[in-house]
Amino acid sequence: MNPKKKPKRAPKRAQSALFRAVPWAALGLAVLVLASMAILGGPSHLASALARRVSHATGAIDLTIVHSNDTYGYVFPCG
Amino acid sequence: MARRATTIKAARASSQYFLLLDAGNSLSNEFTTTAEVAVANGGRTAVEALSRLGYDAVALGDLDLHMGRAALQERLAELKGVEMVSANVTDRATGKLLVKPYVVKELGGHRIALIGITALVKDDPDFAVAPPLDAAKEYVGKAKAEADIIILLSNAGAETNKAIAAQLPDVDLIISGGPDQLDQPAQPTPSSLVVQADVSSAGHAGRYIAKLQATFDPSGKLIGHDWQKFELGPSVADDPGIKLWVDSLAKAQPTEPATAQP
Repeated sequence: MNPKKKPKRAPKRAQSALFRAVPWAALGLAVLVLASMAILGGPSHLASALARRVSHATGAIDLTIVHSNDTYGYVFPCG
Repeated sequence: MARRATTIKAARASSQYFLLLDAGNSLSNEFTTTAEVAVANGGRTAVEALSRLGYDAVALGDLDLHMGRAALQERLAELKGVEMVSANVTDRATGKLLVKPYVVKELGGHRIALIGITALVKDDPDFAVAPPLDAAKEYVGKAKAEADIIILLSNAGAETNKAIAAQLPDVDLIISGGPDQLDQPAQPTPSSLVVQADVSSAGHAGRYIAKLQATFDPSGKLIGHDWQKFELGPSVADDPGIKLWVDSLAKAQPTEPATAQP
């Protein structure tokens, strides 16, 4: 039995357990935050908050809109 | 139609974020000449045209309801990639909205709600139409939880649409249609806009199209705009692909009875 291997194996197990715990901790935190928002402001408040977060992250937008109305389905321009 | 396609293609090609929208009454108008292709075939070619041109969303118009439940449901089923929206038309048979009240599109990280509003119709045997302002209030309230830019497609008429924008501060833009002329964009509030490409008239149908460049700040507030209206006259070149299709329709269409010559 090599006495040098013992100290190495113990930290590996600890690191592995830590790595396994990180995603669960992150998931738990996210659930806690979302649940708090939903409870405090209701589902629409939560959706609104998420939507606003999306738009705030992107900056301004230049949108081009081409629009028509009352074409009656005509395929040939009238008049 | 071929000229409209050319104008749309050019705008689409030069834009990073683009929407093609219609305020409604785009399927047919039974009160005009039956020699018009869309009237003769109950709006079938209109549905194909909207799909070919790539419209993102179209409001259900009051005149579209005149074709009746069966024909209208057939036309709706034929749409390809086009969202038909209305927040205030209920099918009397089911008590439910006939089409989606709104859709949400995501562009450039912004979530854009497109809400349809149909002009008031009374005593339709198949459909009940709620007052436009009431419907706008209800569905703007719902849509703002999902979007940061609110656009109405409304054929309730320019005057009604201006009143809606003035009373509902969450509305950023109304693509207007129906009665009342609106030659230039109206700004009922400093951060809202009402635009209309054409007046509702059998003498104008399909003759004009308009392009709006709108700038929204990071929170989705309208902060700038530039608007142009285009007459689809002979100076606009035909789109070759759409022209081929339109020509094939013209050949298949029975000609109008000839006027008696003196």
